[in-house]
Amino acid sequence: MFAKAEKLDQPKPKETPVSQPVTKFAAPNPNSTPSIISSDLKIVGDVESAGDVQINGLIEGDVHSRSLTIGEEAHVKGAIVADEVTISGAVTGQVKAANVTIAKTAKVVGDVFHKSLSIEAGATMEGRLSQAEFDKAGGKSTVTDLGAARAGFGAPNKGSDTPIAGD
Amino acid sequence: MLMSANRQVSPPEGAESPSFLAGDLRIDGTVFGGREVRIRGAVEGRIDAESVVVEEGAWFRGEIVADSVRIGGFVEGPVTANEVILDSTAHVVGSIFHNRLTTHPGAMHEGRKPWRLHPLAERLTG
Repeated sequence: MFAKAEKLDQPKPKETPVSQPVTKFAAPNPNSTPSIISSDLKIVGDVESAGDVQINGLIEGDVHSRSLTIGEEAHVKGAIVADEVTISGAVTGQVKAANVTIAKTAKVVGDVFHKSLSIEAGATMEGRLSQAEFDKAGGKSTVTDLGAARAGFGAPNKGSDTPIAGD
Repeated sequence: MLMSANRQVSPPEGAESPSFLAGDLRIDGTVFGGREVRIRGAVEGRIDAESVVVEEGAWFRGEIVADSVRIGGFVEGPVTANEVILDSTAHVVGSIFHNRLTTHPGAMHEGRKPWRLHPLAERLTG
């Protein structure tokens, strides 16, 4: 294509602009605006984002994001993989994140793999809590499973910032 | 701001703040039922909502089915809506199925724009 372009010195047909916006818009600063899934929205399928995602609606599928906030009205049915996740709503599925914060309004049914974790008093939590090693950036984790038995209700509530399992 | 243009469909009661799909978001599935969905950044997927706005500078690849669609960014894929507005910054590659199409000067469109709705849109009219 490039070799031809030198010879043919005629204006290109209208196909050229197709690739232009891709390079222009494909890498917008992902940190600028978070994606907000409002409460009237329902997503069936997997969601993948390089930036921040705030969920207030219903998601049936896996969520893969850098930073994730699950609002009080939200319900995620599927696995969550993120760098950091704050859960205030309902989650049915596995949660894998380096930093996990579970607020008092949360209802989590599923195992939580974390590096650091805090559970606020009042949160509903059904599943195992396992400390895992995280490479980076919400990627795959190596579960050491040392805290498997530490699950359950009655998590120590010394404040929302108290990590249950330290490093 | 963008939606201030004459919308025939008044938002239902209790309408909330719109959903934003921003950053580098990829949806491997369908987004359903939002009253208003705004797209910023680069988004891939399929959207089925009442009103969809692709903001200027945004990049969307996939299918849009909505009652009203306003496009100021780049869209690759079929668009199906009763009312479609292409802003001057719009660039659409794909068919636009519509009942009413408004194209502002400067908008680019590559593809067909048949004056009829895609069968998909029937379920939206209810």
